Amino acid sequence: MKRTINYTGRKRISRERISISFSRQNGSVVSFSLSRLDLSGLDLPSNALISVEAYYRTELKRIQLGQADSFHQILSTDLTDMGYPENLKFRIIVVDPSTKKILAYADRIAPEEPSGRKSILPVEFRDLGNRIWMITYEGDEGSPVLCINNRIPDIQNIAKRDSQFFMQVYPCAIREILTYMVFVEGVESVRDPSVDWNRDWLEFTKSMGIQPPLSLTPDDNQQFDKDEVFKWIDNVVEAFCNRYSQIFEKFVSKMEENR
Amino acid sequence: MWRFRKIEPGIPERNPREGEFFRLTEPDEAVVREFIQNALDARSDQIVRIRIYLGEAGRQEIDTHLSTLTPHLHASGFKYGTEKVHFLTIEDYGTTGLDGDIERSDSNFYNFWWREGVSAKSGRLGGRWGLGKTTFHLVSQIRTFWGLTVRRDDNRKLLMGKALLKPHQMNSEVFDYAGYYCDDNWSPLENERVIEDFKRAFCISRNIQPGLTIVVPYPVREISRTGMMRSTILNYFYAILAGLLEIELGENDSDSVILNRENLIDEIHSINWNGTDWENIDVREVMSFVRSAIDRSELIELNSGDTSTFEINGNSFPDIETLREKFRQGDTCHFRLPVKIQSMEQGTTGLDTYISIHIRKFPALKGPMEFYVRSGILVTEIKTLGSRPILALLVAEDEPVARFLGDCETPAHTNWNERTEGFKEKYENAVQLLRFIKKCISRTVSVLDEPPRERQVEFLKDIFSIPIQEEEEERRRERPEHAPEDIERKVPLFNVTQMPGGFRVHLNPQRRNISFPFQATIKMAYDTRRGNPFAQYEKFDFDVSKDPITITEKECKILKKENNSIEIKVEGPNFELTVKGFNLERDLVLFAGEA
Repeated sequence: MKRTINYTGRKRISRERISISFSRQNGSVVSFSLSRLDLSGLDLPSNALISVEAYYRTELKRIQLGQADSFHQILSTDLTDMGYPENLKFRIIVVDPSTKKILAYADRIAPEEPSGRKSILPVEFRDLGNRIWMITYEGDEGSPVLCINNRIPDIQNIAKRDSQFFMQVYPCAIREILTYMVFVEGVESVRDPSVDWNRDWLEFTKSMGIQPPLSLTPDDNQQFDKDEVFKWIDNVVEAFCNRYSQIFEKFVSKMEENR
Repeated sequence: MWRFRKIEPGIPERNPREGEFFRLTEPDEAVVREFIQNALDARSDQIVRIRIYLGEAGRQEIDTHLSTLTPHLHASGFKYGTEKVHFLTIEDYGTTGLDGDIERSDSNFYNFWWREGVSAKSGRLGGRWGLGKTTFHLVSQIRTFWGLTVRRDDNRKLLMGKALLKPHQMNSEVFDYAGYYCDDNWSPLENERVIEDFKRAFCISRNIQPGLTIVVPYPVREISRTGMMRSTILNYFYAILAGLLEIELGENDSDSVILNRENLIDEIHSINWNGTDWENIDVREVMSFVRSAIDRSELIELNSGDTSTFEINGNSFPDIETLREKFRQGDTCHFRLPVKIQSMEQGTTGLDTYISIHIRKFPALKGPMEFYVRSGILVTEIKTLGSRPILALLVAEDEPVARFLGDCETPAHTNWNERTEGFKEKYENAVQLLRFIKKCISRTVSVLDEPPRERQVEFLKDIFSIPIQEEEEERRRERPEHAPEDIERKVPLFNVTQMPGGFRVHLNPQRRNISFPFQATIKMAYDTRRGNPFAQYEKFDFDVSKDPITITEKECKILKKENNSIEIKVEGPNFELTVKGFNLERDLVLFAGEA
């Protein structure tokens, strides 16, 4: 069993109590709004100070909202001075003004997306030397990021459209991520993983009709079955390739043209 | 009458070979390109008007102009219909006509009718290859056409015709393949009655307006009004949108269609582009892009370095990051690229000139649409953008660079070829400069389209994403407020109780049938914002074998304690293990389970 002990007794502000969204101009993020923050029932002192932080890696912007009994929602806060506004996550912090102790918080809040879909594999274009791609685990909670070599001409277009790149990179990336997730990180619960990206990727595999094994925790001697996990990963990769069978056909045609 | 030169003994017989240069393009496209380009070359007014008409006439109506050709056609083996004569009439207005001396000279008139493979055109003029006019022969089933010109310089009306057949024999006499519709002195006809009859027979609109009318009898079957309209737009949309060209297309008694700067974008939408390069493309959007390039007066000046380096890189652009952002967002970027043309002629100085480049990301495209325009004509075979979904337009209109590119243009105006005879001897660094110009769109795109440095969260959203709504519903389904009673929940072996500075582990009283002794492991780590906290444990966080960590145990033996792990043997039901001494300002994550 796994248990987290919160010695300072701070309270968790659930995601449903918060509403944050981006404003865009010409597709670029220019500001954000916090239109809802419900702290009722959390039993916070009336003079507790509330702030919201927008952050990405080492970059951070903090906005003071005021005291718990009189704080205000913010309708538009400029983000154009931030280096990477697209990647920002948000954090709500409620602090005792005298001791500076955190009384309540919410972290890793992604702005609400109107599209109804959540992207689970961010991409970074970097100089990877002689490698074409690699997976790093530098996202939120150590989530995977696909790094693609920016020295390859026209690489953005290739990564999106080229059938050879698609069929040779993405299935391998899925295999690597799932293998890492299980055998390096360990998913302590298949039904309710505590790590967000584990949950997202399990959801992704289920969306292809592939159900995970009973256990994805290698330490779980009773239920973990290594062969079953490898088979599951294989099935996911196969389902992904089947989903994009038309791209496979293009890949075959291209290979035949090049012969 | 039609006249063919007799081939005297000792003179070789030769078949015409000019057509070999023009087998690449479709007849519709070939005739439209050649005629309109010649018209643009001969432009005297601000706008050139082209009238294209497909008609038919009874044989007797045109017999005056064809009867003397018929025996030569038969002798050469050409077959054609006898009842109805289909014809194609193409006229230009706002041009000079075929002007200059009609006798042997370098005049337009003489070059057009009497020279083959020689061009008098130069500079900004678009068509400069003397072989181009062969197209008019090739689109006629009897390899014949007439030309009626009204000349701006002297207002003379001149009618001539030319046929390129085969060497042929009639009544023991052998005739050359080339024949002319002319007077007895091989000069053009000027007889007003003959010209009026010719105009009536072939539905010619021209009266006294200067320009040239070409009439092609028996056009090949592939020629159609729809095809020529599509070819005209495909090849001359730039000139039309730039206000240099207006086209009228008619056929027999049906209404004419006029294409001009004002209506092209609307008309283009109603045309069926299936089977062309524009199939399944939002052509209205493409034309709007071209229009915006033409109307753009402010261009961003690029710094292409000195004339010997010919390089475009990040330093060539002012405020490169802003431009990259604009480009990524789908804005059209307009640039002016200065170049210097240095002739090899002694005593000449280099000429400062420029080309303009217009580019826009257009993700809806399956591949690039790149247009290279010199003096209003589209040079169609230059492709440098691979598969990038980009709209690009390069315009070379300034005289020195238009002349430079014209000097290396292929006969059908489809490419700029560095191996063109005499080209590299004519200019300093001719080959390097030409390569630089041909690749400047590709280089500009490469610099602007450099992938952004920041993380692209949604770059692969189409491939790797999950539905937000379903995800939340799924979570609700999986976490009901009250667990269903029929599911037997596995009772944990241990309970963990938080204590000041630490925790206490003891057996869960609800767990039955525990057999003693058994071995267990307790692992601890400070919680982390990212990743697995156990994997990120450092010995400097704490060490369970060292101060300030203290351990007390009851009904158990500690088998091993090291770093963040304690291995124990639990010996009885009153087992307790208390661990204290942790940093109270950090959350502690712990795992307790059977070994």
